[in-house]
Amino acid sequence: MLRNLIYITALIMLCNAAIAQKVSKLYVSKATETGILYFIKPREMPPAGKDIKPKESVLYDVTIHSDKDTADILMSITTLTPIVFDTVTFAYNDGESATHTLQKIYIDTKERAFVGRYRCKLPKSELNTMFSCKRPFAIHFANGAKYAYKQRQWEKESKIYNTIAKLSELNQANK
Amino acid sequence: MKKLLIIAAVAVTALLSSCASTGTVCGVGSIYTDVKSGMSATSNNVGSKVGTASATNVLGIIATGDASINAAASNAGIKKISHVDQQQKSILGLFTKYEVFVYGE
Repeated sequence: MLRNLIYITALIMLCNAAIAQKVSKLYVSKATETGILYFIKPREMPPAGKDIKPKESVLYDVTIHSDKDTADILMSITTLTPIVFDTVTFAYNDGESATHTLQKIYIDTKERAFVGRYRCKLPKSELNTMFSCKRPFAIHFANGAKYAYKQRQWEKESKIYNTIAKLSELNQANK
Repeated sequence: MKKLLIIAAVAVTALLSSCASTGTVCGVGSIYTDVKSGMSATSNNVGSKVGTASATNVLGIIATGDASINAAASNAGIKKISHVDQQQKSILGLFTKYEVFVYGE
């Protein structure tokens, strides 16, 4: 019985991994009147500190427009208590950090927790720098929660963003 | 004997393929499905926002998620919907993911 369960779990994980591996499967693009819109599907960022309780998490997706200088990071922040965040801090390059304003989209419930959905608009150049770092950047919230990829996972995640960013750059109208 | 086993394996795969699968515009592949298709469109501009929502089905036993247009539009704060696309992925009919993409402003 246990062995069967292990086989089924392994099969599900294999299926999931097979679906999630290729970069081309991780984004969608759309031609608009002013350029091409790229949407990186939601990614989960793992917790990096002890302040995060079980069931608390951060999911983010990125929208990039080939002909705009800014990009949007949309985040779903799951917390056990209802909190409204005003800002988010990105820490990168072993010491550099940038704090940005969060625009609240909604706060909702999710099982026994609360999900806050936020938009963060930031310069594409800054996002490029963050994802080009050799070491993973970290996200800090006002409640002390910290999220960051592990080094091994970071190489895969940064590759996804950098591929889309390159595509966006190549498809700029004036290029 | 070998032929019988192959036939049995194909039959089992075909039977199981309906476990966790939903139909697509061009049918469902019993081994692998990855199909994008249009769902609906309006006369609004494409805009600069994209929202997504998804639901998953595992082994035809557990199906969870909210893949509604409302959820996808809310996730990106979209007030005016331009069009809606959908994507269905399935492996062996055992694991299926259904995603909705809403574009708008």
